[in-house]
Amino acid sequence: MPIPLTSWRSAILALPLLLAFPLHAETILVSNEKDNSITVLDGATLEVTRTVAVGERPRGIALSTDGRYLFVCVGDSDRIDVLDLNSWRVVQHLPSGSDPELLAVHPDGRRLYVANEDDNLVTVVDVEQRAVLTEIPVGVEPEGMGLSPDGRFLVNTSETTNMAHFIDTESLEIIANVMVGSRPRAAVWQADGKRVWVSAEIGGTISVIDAANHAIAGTVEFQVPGVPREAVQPVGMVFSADGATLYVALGPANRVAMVDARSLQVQRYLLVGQRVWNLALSPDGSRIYTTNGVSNDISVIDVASSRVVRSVPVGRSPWGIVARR
Amino acid sequence: MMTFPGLRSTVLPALLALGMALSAAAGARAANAADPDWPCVQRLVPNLTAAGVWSGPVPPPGDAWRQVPDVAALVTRITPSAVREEAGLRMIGDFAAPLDAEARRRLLPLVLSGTLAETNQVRGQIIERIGAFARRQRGLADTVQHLTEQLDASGPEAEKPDTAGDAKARQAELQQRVFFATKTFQDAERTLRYMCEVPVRLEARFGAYARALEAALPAPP
Repeated sequence: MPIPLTSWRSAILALPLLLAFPLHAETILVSNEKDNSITVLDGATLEVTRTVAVGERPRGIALSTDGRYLFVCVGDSDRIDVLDLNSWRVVQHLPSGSDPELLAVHPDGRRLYVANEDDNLVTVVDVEQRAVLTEIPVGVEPEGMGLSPDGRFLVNTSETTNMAHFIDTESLEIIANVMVGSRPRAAVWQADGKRVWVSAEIGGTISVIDAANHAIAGTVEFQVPGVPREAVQPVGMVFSADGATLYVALGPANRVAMVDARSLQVQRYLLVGQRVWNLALSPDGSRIYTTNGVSNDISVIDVASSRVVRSVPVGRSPWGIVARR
Repeated sequence: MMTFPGLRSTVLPALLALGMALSAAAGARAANAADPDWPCVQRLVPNLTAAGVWSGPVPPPGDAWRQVPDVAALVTRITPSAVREEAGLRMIGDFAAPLDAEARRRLLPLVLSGTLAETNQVRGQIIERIGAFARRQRGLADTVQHLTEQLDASGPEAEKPDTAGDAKARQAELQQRVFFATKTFQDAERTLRYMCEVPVRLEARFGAYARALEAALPAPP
């Protein structure tokens, strides 16, 4: 953000502004499920800089390991669109199997793991060959996809079977099935690879699974004052940069919960936009971004003050969100 | 006898499509096993709450809002289902603009409670209609399945070259009934998808109203 400094006086005037709004040289990318588009925002100004058309019903999005491309699950087009983040064009279509909803990128940068909600499959796609490597049969309505930090294990949740499947990414065998809360959604690994956190939309809980023995190590429960139980639907999750706090999107409770990762206790509920669905951490760890599917906006949470500092309108039914430098 | 040229070629794809629609409906039902009358994708939240969208002072409970004529008039204007969000927001803006801080502090929470009560009322009626529609669809799906079974059973008999015209006519009639029942089901599925959007739209509008009211509140003393 260039600031013309014509005199010392203006520099001094600008200083508090700079302190209040640290420079965020980052880009925020949001998939709009009902607009078939990706909204691009400048992290410094929080203004929409462009909107890019993609295939039909974009939901899950993920950055390539080198940060140059955005993979977009376009469910109704039955494929993955590859958006070039320099030219802002869809440069490739990857096969994905039927109705891809969410995907995870292997640390090797080549393999994508895609949940096919209609077919009860996880499809493994080779990005370079642009080909399906294999299909792994899993439970009914596969949904969440969490790769361990070393890429050895994939945890896939199955909405109807209420299970988290641990899949060995080398042998492609399911090595464990863990019962979790009703309609499990996201699966997120701790950075140290020791535990996996699985949110359950209908159960209204998070199951914390020990990655070594696949036992439930604990359960997080939520109670939002004044909000009925059925409106508390945990979906998207993201850890703070230091791993001490898990931020959890609670759907139509319109809250993000801050959970102490050690005690599993909720420290605070933050009021955000309506039907908060997915979350992203800014690359410098200073902010959490949320997609709000009913109010058609994103909320910006300042991590240091634990406050919601802005909301910005995007497309219709914003769903997935990532931020990159 | 009425003939349906090309019926055979239309029945099969229609049945295949129906199969998919039925299995999708079954999937949605499985996901909402607790409430078979809620066919929409998102889990049913029967009532909206003020706490869901508002961090201002706890709004007055009950229908105190009805006792203030200006508030009641505003609520009645902005909450019918057909009112567009932008129009409602304009009316809220016009209502709040001339009020001083004390009046805002007193009246805007009342507007919120009235808006909440009336939106829940309108939204509840639509949720009921969706439930009735879902029950009707289940009945239609059963009818189609029943007719299809009859059609399957009649097939071999009607295919015989020496079969009397009766069997063939009966099969043609069954095909015709399957075709129209399928079409009715599919048209209703589209209607249902549209109906499922209405509670979401009302929820979004209520949230927008609440945020506008909260923004118009004076800073706490």
